[in-house]
Amino acid sequence: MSLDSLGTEVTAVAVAVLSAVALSAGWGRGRTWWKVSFRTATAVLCLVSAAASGLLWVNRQVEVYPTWSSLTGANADADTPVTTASPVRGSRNGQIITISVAGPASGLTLPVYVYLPPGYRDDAGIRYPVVEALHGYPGSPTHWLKGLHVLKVLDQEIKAGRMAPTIVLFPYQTPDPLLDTECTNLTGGAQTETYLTRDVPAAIRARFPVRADAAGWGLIGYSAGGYCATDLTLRHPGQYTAGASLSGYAEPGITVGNGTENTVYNDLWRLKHLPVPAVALYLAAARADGQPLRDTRALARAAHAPLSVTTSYIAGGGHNVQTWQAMEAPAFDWLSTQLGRPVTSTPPPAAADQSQSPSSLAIAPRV
Amino acid sequence: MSLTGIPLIVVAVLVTVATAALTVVTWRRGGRLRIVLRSGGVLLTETLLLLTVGLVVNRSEQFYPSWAALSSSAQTGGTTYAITPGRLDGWLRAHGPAFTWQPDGWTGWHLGAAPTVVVPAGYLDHPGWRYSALVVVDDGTTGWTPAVQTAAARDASADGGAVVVFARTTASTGVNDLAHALPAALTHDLRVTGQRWALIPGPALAALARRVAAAAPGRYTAVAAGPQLLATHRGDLGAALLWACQQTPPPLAASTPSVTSLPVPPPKHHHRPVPGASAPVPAPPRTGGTNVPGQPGH
Repeated sequence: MSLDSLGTEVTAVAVAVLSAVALSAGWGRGRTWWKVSFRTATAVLCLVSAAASGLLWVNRQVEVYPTWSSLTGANADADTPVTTASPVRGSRNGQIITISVAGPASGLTLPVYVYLPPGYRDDAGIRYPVVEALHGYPGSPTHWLKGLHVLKVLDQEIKAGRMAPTIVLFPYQTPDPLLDTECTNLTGGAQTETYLTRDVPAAIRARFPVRADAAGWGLIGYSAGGYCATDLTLRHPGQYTAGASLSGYAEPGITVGNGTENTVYNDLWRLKHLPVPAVALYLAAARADGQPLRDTRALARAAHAPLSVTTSYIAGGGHNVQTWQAMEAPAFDWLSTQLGRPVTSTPPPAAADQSQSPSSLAIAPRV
Repeated sequence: MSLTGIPLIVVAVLVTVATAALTVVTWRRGGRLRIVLRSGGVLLTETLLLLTVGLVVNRSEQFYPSWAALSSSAQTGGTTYAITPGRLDGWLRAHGPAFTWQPDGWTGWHLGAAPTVVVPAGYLDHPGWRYSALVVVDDGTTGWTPAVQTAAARDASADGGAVVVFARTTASTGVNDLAHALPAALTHDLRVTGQRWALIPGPALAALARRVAAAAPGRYTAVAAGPQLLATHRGDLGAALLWACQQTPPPLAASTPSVTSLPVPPPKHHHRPVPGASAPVPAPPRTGGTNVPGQPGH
């Protein structure tokens, strides 16, 4: 029974109910020392089990600790894979595998969940475009898998032809479950930006048939991950060509350690003071989601060529999983319209193969 | 009463305190129902306490800003809409994939001849797909014959294909002709996307290509330069076109339309996107606001 399962939560609620019944039934029984001990123990159990029930419910919503090992482990690397270990070639459906990426540049070693599209083969000479999907805080990549049902959404969009077959990565942006990095390089701390933009791409290029150029790489994220997607796209145009932010922010909302949260990590500041890269952004926000809505509008106002921005607003909504579920399919589709296509490794054939060329051309009517 | 308002939190606190007090007062009462009353009181107090904490957190973080947001769901799957056919789609069935293109107004583009267009194999088999466009411009000195062009366009279709336009420029051909007029006509006549195209200049037209790309940001995101331009120098148009094709998005069906509101109303029509849901932002060069202090943790 995993930590984020319904069974665990039901168990906690059952313990809360039983401890309340025990407290009530045993209140007046036994000798004095027994009464005091029993009342104290059951009262504490009542409080602990009730709190645990609430916290387990919250954890099921945000997937900070998807497994017991992630709760007891020192960092996210203690998490256990929720998926298969190796890909099946030519599978009719998409599949998620888990790899561990040890980052020589960042010094971080964290698991990465990898979505492989329907029909994926690593021996067909195809090089796929890649999207890095970033989670919010508090949270984990598991929220993409369980809360946002991303496997089903990606399969649905790819099979419908609305999205190109794409490899989607789900890395951690939190080396420790309670450390909010906002995908930045913290001064004297975790170098998450380096991990996400250098170590993860390098590891993926070494292990999977993916496009090596920026035209084939994009970012997506929700909440804090939305800020990450916007910021990393602006900061690393040589690595990414497009980014999609779902309920994201314009600045990290944390202290990076050297004041850069107010300058180079503040995307509004960047758009005002630094050269704007030729990348594309998709900014989605719910109209009832105050700060992300204000930041989305501010970013759209501040954007200028060669940066292109597409905005999408949802009336109502909020800063919650239902809103991101509504946003994710169009956002993935949009990313596919911005990224380069899957390519084959076949070298270009000779251009002058004229034997199959028509001898004359039709002339289209004026319409 | 608002889900995130102070009145609801005050009510929740008062009810919690009242329930706790009632539980204490009735602790030794109730006769045979004493255990049930006690247990119910404890559990109700705990539940209300958790609920109150949840309301306070929700007010701070605005996860669910309204009752509607709390009760909504996002069942958006299955909503699709069709792509408007290109004006020449029907004509192409009878005349094949390569043709001389003479749209209204083409004579005003200052070209040396009407452009040649080659649509990829399968264009007519997938009427719901939209294609990227590759625009090849040469000044007549390259020696690219229609046969060479058509063969190169066909070779470039190895990775899904794109609509290829060959335009012969003159000294009078302007940036706007290639950046705006030609793309506008092409989007009417064929199922092409409006952005992220590629521009492949002949050896002498690299400077013009750069100006065209700069004049229409987002339109030509790939311009053959460096090795790709050298390929055109060598006459290897196929290699340059294949490179350009690989920089562009693949043929895709229309995107899942954006949800415009939550809760999601049932779709009324299945063939049109809801206007105004998403729109490219013209992005005027204005200064944005600065961060608002007190942003909740996210």
